[in-house]
Parts: sequence; structure tokens; C-alpha cells
Amino acid sequence: MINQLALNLVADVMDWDNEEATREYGWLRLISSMKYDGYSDFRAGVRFLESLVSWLRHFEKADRPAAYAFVKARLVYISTLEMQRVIETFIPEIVTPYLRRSVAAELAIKPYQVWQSAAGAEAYLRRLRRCLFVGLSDGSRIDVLRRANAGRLSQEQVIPMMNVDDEKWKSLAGDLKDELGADARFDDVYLIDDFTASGTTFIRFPDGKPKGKLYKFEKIVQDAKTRLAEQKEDFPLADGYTLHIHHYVSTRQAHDALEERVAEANEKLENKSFGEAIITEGMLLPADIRVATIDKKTRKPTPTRPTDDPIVDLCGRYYDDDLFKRLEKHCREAGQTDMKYGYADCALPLVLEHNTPNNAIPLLWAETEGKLGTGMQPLFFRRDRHG
Amino acid sequence: MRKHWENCITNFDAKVDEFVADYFADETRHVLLVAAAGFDPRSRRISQMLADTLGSRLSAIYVREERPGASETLIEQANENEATLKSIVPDSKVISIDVFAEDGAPVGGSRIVSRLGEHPVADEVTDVILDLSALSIGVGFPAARMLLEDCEGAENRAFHLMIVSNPEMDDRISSIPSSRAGSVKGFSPPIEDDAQGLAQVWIPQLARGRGLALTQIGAAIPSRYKICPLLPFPARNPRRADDLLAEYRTELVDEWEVDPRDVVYASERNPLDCYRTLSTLKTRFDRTMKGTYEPRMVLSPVGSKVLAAGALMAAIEHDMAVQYLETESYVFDKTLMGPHEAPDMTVHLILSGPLYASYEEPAPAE
Repeated sequence: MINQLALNLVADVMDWDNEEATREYGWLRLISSMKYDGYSDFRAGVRFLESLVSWLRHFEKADRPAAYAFVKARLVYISTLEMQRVIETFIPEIVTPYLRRSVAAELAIKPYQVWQSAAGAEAYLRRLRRCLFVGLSDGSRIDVLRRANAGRLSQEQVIPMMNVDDEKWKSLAGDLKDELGADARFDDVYLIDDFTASGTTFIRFPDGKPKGKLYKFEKIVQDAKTRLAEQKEDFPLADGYTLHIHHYVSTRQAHDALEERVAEANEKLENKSFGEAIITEGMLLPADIRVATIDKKTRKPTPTRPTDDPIVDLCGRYYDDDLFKRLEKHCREAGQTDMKYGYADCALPLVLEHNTPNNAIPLLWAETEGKLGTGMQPLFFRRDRHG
Repeated sequence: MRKHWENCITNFDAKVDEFVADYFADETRHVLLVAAAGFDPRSRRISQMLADTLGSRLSAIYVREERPGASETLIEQANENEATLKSIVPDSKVISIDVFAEDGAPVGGSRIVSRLGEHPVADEVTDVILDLSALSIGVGFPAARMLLEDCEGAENRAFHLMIVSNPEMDDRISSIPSSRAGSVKGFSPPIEDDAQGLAQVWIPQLARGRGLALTQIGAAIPSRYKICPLLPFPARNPRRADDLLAEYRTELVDEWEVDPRDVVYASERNPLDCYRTLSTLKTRFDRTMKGTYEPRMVLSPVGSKVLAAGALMAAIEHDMAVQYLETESYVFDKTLMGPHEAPDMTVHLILSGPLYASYEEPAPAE
């Protein structure tokens, strides 16, 4: 529970009078305990409130009300409990309807008739077992997925990461054959990740060469398939299996970009292992979640809502170009010449409980010394995988 | 009892239209629709969709909820809606339900059950559809329970729920609650005589502008073991749950003393998510209380009808109590409506019937 001294700290930084302070304390107490204190980088003694004070201090006094108002009214923080809900809806809301449609097509019946006959119900269960679920990062929270579907999914159809060794491929194939017969293969592969904002990193072709997680998985599959064929061992994925790319949380922009990128991959990847690719998400963030749209040529931001003007202004003024230099190669691939509004100019006001995406506005997560601009202080420190 | 509810057949938005156009094209299908004929602009949508495919194979019972405090404007809107609905479904009846007795007691639940009982479902009806979109909880829940049990008792008859939902529009409809909190007809399970005391978990659904009503409902629930507020997430507006937390700050912190870890989230789009969440909570709570207290879950679904439909399923399946405060009148703010409005969301569920004849999937273990 936040104590009075801590609250006084905020009041002092914000220059609040008693009335305003009393009003804001209630909200700060509530939102800290309900959500923000759960951020994975916070530590005992230095949680949200202390982080907020440090963050507010790095703004000029005149700019602090705009920064505080942004946190109070515009920031989207997805907590552990909320993310858990999204994970738990994956099988029933995404996988089950798809399988019902597939089984119906197989049996030449309507999707709503699958449970009506024993043949349909049995085909559904067999089809479910022939789905392979692959985690792509720590964020895919395969542990939560497994727990939520205990009794529904076999342990031998869920793998926590894509780097599967030959022994695992063999055991996946063996278990499936034992259960469903000698011809059984996985017909559907779900690649699962926590979040995508731009959709550009999943598969891309800089300099004409494929890169990204989808290509990495494709290469792992092709290499394993060749090795197992040499050993005269069965490979568990069906030829031309259906590939599903599922993110627990996605922006509309990322969904559309992924559709385009996957279409490009369909043309450019030679002898690819998968057939159709389907893109789904647990929670689609609305298009107006971003605080601004950035003109690629002029770099001019256009605030999404009139009330976004102050935070967009702060993003431009409290910025250290050293951030761009650190991530330059990565950013240039996304067509950026600065990093004021996050990777791929996504300008998101978004924080996930286990990390802040680099597509969020850097004002929220960047920590710099001010070598090429203003030193930046994070509200939610980001663990960076890109440098 | 109803294992298939774990994997209930559901359709959303455009898929609902596709389902209706396909499934009801079968000339052998005859449908009875039960829906509201109130002021709510969403009340025509399902009727029109069904009438377009079914034509004369569709009959309807429209329920008009009469409240003493209704304004002239809302009465006019309801009259207009009623006339339109009758023209959409010519084979329809309108039954008026006085929601309050003369002494002010809420009686809408008893009256809907008795009035529907006067209109037994015709033998030729293959599908009964309850459109919950514009029915109040006090009337819609007892009607749902009655119609479901009726369909389950009949051979080859399916029971469907349909909802047109718009959380942004819900925010514009404010209600003036009556002063008497009580249980919804048919949703007040009896306490066993040999029970060693009652332990209740109250699950109020937080919705904009319903704070006063929820406070009154909560005050009328004795032996509260815990309060687990229900919030919409995932939601179309990703900040909706946060905004509700802020709106209910005083209740959550000062009055109900809610532990932050006891907040329950459920999808704003899919009733099954709410159903599964509440079912899991119920199973765990029962296990904990066994032999010491008589456990009871008490639901107060006062907001979105999608979450309410999930609560309805959980309440029917697990014999949960539903406590509410009947509405004396509504105020509908149309001033902000315009072309920028978020679109309606449509949900369809099949709760029972021949389509589940071979459902065998085991419910997932916890």
C-alpha cells in the first residue's frame, strides 16, 4: 500500500494543492495496487509510484501536467491477469471454431453440425490432436496455455520454443502415431507470440534475403525434415500443413502488415513447407490506439486525437537521438530516421506487464544519458533485445 | 450436465448473418422469437435478420416492459419500435409486463414466466430464440431459464440466444434504480437445512453509471466472504476496465475493500469466456468451503448483455444466485450519436438441441 510520504513526493513534483492531491491520491493508490505495481521490472521499495516520481522529475515543471494526464487517461497497460484472460481465450475462440470449420469441410457437413454425429465429434477430437502449438518467445506463456487446456491438449502437441531438436521431432511423431495411427501427422501448426505492433519483423526480405521468425521456423523445419529423411525417420508435420500465426495482442496495423508480408513470403520462399497461412489474434487493438501518425518523409507527427497533442509534443522535445544510433540498423530497415515515436513509428501508448514494447513511445521506456539530445528517463524500463 | 457449454456453438458479427441465412433456409425450420419491444434501438436488428430468411416460418412474442417512471419520449420510441416489429414479423404478439406491483415490489420475473406459460411453444417450432439485447435482467433471465428448460424437455428443438451489443451505447443508457434489492425470479437457490452457515462470493459486474445500484445490492447481501468485481477484458476499448476501476474507486477501496488479486476479467465479446471463468471460480470455491460453510456465488450482472449472458449460463448451470435492483426508468442520451459511432457487435449461441447429440469432449481439468 502506498504511504503518505510517497504520495507527498508526487504532490511535490506536481505542485498540487491539497485538494488536487487528495483527488489524485485515490486514483494513484488504486491503479498502483490493481495494476502498475505488477510491472516485472519494479522492485520492492521502488515500484510504480517511485518510478512515476523519477519520470515526472525529468520533465520541466510546465510539462509535467501533460505527462501525468497522459498516464492517467491514455496509457494502456495490460496486466498479468488481463494477459492471462487473452491466453485462456485462444483455444476456445480461435482454434475450436477453425477446427469445426475444417472438420465440417472434411465431412461435407456444416460447421454447426460437427457435434451432431459421432463421426463429426470423433473427427473433431482427432483434428485437435493433430494441431501443434509452438511458442516463439518467453511472451508466448506456454505454461499458462498448457494449464488452461489441461485435459484438452496433450503435452506432446505443445512445445515452448521453436528450436526443436531431432529427438523431440521424433517423439512428437511417435506419440502422434501411437495415438492416431501410422499415417497421423500434424495438419496445423500454430506459431504463438505475445505481441506484434508493426508486423514487419515476423517475415521480411531486406536485400532480397528472407529474415524474421517465420523464416527461422521454416528453416528449422526444412533442415529437420532433411535430416530425419536421411535417418529414415518420420517427420511429424504433414506436407503443406496449415500455418497459423497467432499473437495474443496485435494492432490492426500489424495484422494488415502481416497479411501482406505472408503473401510476399508465399511468393518468395522456395519449396516452403507450409500451405495456407492464417493470421489471428486474441485481442486486436483499435487503430486509434496510436497517439500519432508519422509522415515518413517529413517526419511530421499528426496526433490521433486532439487531446494527444501535448504528449506528441513531449515525444518530440524530450528525445535523445542516441537511442536511434543504438538501434539504427533495425530502425532503418523500418524506414525511420529517428526514434521519437517508437520502432516502425507505431507511437503506441502501450505497456505489457512483462516488458514494454519498443513500438511504444520511447518517452515511456527509454533510458539514455543525453549524448545527442535530452537524457531520457523511463517510466516502465524496457529490457531491450535489439541493443 | 451441459458439458457442451464449454464448447458451445457460437457465431459473431457477420458469421451470425451467415449462420441465419444458411441454417434457417431449411424449410422445415420454424422459429419462435422472444424479444423486447422497448425503446432500445437495437431491438429491431435480430427480428429483421430472422424475418429476411424465415419469412412466414417466423413467429414472435415481443415483451414490453412497463415501468412507472418512463418518460413520454421513451414511451413514444417504444411505440414506434413495437409497430415496426409487428410489421417485420406479422405473426407476432406483444405481451405487456408491469415490472412493479402496485406496492412497488419488483414482479417482472414472475409475470414473464406466467405470461410465457400462457403461450406454449407450438409443436411445429424447431428453434426457440431469445433475443436478450433489450430485455432487462429481471425479465430476460427468468425467460431464458424457462425457455431453455422447455426446449431441453422437447424432442428435436434447439434453444438459441442472440444479442446485439454495443458497450459504447450501453454507456449512454442510464437507469434510475428502485430502492429494493432482491433476487431474480428462479435465481435464488435454497440453503440446505443442515448447512453450517453461509459463505457468499459476490460478483458485481462493474458498468458505467451503476455504482449506486451496485452499492445498494451489495448492502443487501449478508455473509459476504469475498467480493470479486467483474470487468470487461479483452474489450473493444482496451482502457474500458481501467476507466471502470477509476469510476468505482470509492466502492472498491473504501466500501468493498476488494483485494486487487480478486478482480475477475472476462471477454466483452464472448459470453462463453464469462461462463467459463465463473464456472472455474465456483468449482474452486465449492471445494474450499466443503463441509464448513454453505458456499454460494451471487452474481449482479448490471452492464453489457454479453457478459450477462455468460453470467446467465453460469447461474443456470451451477445454481448461482442473481441479485439485482430493478430499474424504475431509463434515460437514453441520443445527443452524442452520429456516424462516428462504434458498430454493434452481434453474438449468437446455441445452448441446447439436436446439434449437440454426439458431443463428448471432456471438460478440461483445472
